[in-house]
Formats: sequence, structure tokens, C-alpha cells
Amino acid sequence: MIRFKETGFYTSIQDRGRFGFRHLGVPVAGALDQISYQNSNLILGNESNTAAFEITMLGPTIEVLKRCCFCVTGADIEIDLNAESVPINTAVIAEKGSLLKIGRVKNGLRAYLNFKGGFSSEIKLNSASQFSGITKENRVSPLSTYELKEDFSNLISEYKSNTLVSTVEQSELMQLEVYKGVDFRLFPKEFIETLTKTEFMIGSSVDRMACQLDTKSELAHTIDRLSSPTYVGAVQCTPSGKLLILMRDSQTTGGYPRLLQCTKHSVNRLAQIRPNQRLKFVLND
Amino acid sequence: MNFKESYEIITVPEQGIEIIWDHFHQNPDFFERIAYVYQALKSEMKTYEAVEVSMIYNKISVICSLELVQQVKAHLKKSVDKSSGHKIESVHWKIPVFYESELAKDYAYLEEKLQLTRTEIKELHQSRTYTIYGIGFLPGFLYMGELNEKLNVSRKLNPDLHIESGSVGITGAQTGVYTVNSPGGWHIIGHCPIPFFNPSSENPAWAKPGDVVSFFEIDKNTYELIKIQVETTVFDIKKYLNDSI
Repeated sequence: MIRFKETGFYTSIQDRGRFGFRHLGVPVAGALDQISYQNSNLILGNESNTAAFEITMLGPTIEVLKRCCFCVTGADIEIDLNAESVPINTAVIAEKGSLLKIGRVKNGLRAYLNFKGGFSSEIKLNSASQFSGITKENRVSPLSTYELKEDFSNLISEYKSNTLVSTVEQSELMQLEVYKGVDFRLFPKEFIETLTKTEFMIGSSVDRMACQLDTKSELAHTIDRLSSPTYVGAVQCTPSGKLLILMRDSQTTGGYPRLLQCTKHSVNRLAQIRPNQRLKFVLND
Repeated sequence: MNFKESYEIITVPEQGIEIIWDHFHQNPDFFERIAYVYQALKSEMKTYEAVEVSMIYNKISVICSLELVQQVKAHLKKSVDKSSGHKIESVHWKIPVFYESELAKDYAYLEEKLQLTRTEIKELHQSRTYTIYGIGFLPGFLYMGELNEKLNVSRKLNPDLHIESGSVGITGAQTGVYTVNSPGGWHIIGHCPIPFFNPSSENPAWAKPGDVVSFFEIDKNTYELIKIQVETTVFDIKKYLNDSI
């Protein structure tokens, strides 16, 4: 068993996502950075849909009440096991009674803490991904405990590390690959030039629903349509000219026109972007 | 306008396709045919696990892999051809509303804005049968219309941060019931005791696009009784089908 002494800034349980209920208004949810999440299962040799804890900005402090094997992937983050630093992207054994303290993110925004064999949590509509109105809680709460599914009391050394694709942006200006969105055709030609020439700034809101960019008055418009389906990675443009990039918890329908569509890889990269970082769109044909 | 010729198929890169019928407002008969095409596509594609078919108003969205797009398009064409004169499977739900609930806190504003009394607002809301145009915004939230024009009011400029699950709201030509606690900008005129979404069930929502809904007023005692039924799972949504009342 593990117990959360502190939960960190925002820690939630996530997996690949919830499929087959979109027509009922249920967002797909799931780990925002699917690449880093899948890496955690690869390193531990888990089944690919084993749920992990998604950590944002500041990690949790956890009491390990049963010998286990864990790893952390994604953003560059401080990981201390019994006050000793352990590496990222590496399977590490924690003895019973250990204290695992995950600190601040140094680069990127989200990290994934996963356990070999997985842990028990509430499954709703075929997924462990926490979401308001579907699961009882939308994030891990203080002092909550989770049962580890398998016993690793005899596991000897699992110091397995991996060189992996990183989704964390290294350059000052993110070049984000996008396609034309479903409603691209409704916008005037001048928009397109503005879009690809302009540098955008990430706003203060980068939650699981959407990533907001700063308002550009050149992108203001009066296009008004009936509510439409939305897609993960759709870039909506509000009448005032603010771009909203929809993430995995976003509602399944929305009123703003869908100007661009991010590649799936772009969505994973956006999961690691921070407020005030700069971004430029690269339009694929 | 010809239904068969007035739709466009738009590629949603790395996601699937979206089918859009233009001229929707001018052709009220389009909706039923779109709902038919949606139901047909959904049932044709149900064997594929990774395919998600959904609809709202004049659009059908199909999330699927690139390899399946041709197959989806073929089914689409077939069901569009078959859609004329085909009756969709449609159910009429009669939903109880406690209009005197203390959660219905926007009457003062509405009475002033619409120049109607509370009784008139309640009666106008119950006077029509509404079409479900789609599900979205919140899990199980039904987009329903058209409201009587006398009830047309634009959404709140500053949305409320907390609207209680079950709250019945109106805005523009639409009415809807909040299915979970959420922020929201619609004006609240009543509270509905029955759940619209149950994440513990294999079929978490009872309604579908193309079904119709009407509302009837209940008093406090009936409201409390239904709430108890819901909590003790004696509740059965089938009782609220039109023909059982």
C-alpha cells in the first residue's frame, strides 16, 4: 500500500483515456502527455493501459507501506527516496517504510509516477482516469491510500533505465505542428498569414481542459455557429481573438469555431508547456 | 434544398471526419434525417472499438483511423440515400420539474427582462415538446429546443461559478438540465429530481439525439419523494416515458 502524505499541486490518476462514451458528452480524459505516460509502463514492463499518477508542477510525498518498484517519467523533476536523489526514467525499488518525495518540476510541467504491476483505483466506464462527475474524485486527496496490485517482496534489482523520446520543450520558442481545423474555411485569407507569422504567449491557464494563448485583436471575428463537436488538440478562436487549444478533459461540444487542429504529438508536447512560454504555429498541408 | 446534396465531408487530421449539413436552419426536416444517418452509422460501426460516432445539431463526427475512413464514407452514403421517409427510433420523455425550488434563483431577473410573471414563464416552459439536438457540454447534458420566443434571453455575461446538478436552465432558444455540478451561464428556472447521467451504469444516459422531451410541474412533496426513490434505486426512468403517464 502507499499513502499520500502530501498531494502536491495537482495530482490525478490517469490512463490512456475513456473511449466509447463521447456521444454522451464524456471527455476522453487520460494522461495529457501520452508519450511520457506510456514510457512509464514500458520501463516497468506493465500492461500498456496501467494507470499512473499525473503530477503537475509540484509532486506528492508518499509513504511506501509495502516493498515496491516505481518510476517517474515526463517533466524534469526532483525525486528523493529516503532523502536520496534517484534518476528519472528509471525503475527503482523502494523498501517498505520508505518515504518518496517528489519535488518541483525544473523543466516541463507534468510528470508520471507509476508502479510496477499497477495500483487499485476506481474504474468508471472502463477507465481509471479521474474526471469530475464520472469518478468520485477528480484528483488524489490528502491521506488517500492505494493498494499495490502485485507483491514484489522478492524482486532483486530492477535498475532499468531507458533513453526515450522527450516531450519537454528545450528551445525558447516552441514550433507547434498543426493542420487546418474543421472551420478553417470560414476564416478570411489574411488570418492565415497572421497565424503563421505571429508569436503567441501561453497564458496563465494551462489546465487539463485547455491551454489558453494571449488575445490577438487581429484574430477577432464575428463567426457565430451552432455548437459543434470538438476534438482533442482543436484550436478554437473566440470572437475577441483568443486561441484555446483543447486538451483531453475539454467538453465534447463547443461553440467557438475550430480554426486549427494540432497533431497528436503536438498535444503531448503542449502537456509540458508552461505559462509565459512562447509558441509559433507551423501549418502542415 | 436537397438533403443528399447539401452536406460536406471534412477531414479532421489524425482524428477522423466530420459531416456537416449547411442550410440547417432553413430546412427543419433535415434534423430527423441527420439523426437517422447518425443512428445508422453508429450501429454500422459499433463492432469497431476505437470508433466514436457522435452528433450535435447539423453535424456528425466520426473519430476513426485513416484505414476506416473509406468504409465510413460508404456507410454514410448508403444511409443518406435511405434516410428519406425513414422514421427514426424516437422516444418521448416527460420530465418532472420543481419550479418552486430555492435553486431556481433567476426569476426576478427573468420577470423584469422578459416582462412575464413567474407563472407565465413556468407555463411557457411546459407548453412545448423539445427535440434533443445532441449531447455534450457535460456528461449526459441534453441540448434541447426550440423554446418559445417569449422566453428568449441571452446567456449571463458572467457565468455562475456553481450551478447545482439537476438545475433546469434556459438561454436563447435552448433549454437544458445541468447533469453535474458545474459553472454555467444559463438562467435557472427549476430543479429536476431525476438523474440524467449515471457513470456506474453500462448505459449511463437514457436519452439520445432525436428523442423528444416535455416538462411537467411537481410540488415539493412529489419532488422529495422522487429524490428518495432515486437514492434508494427504486427509481425507474421508464416511468417517465410518455405512454406510461
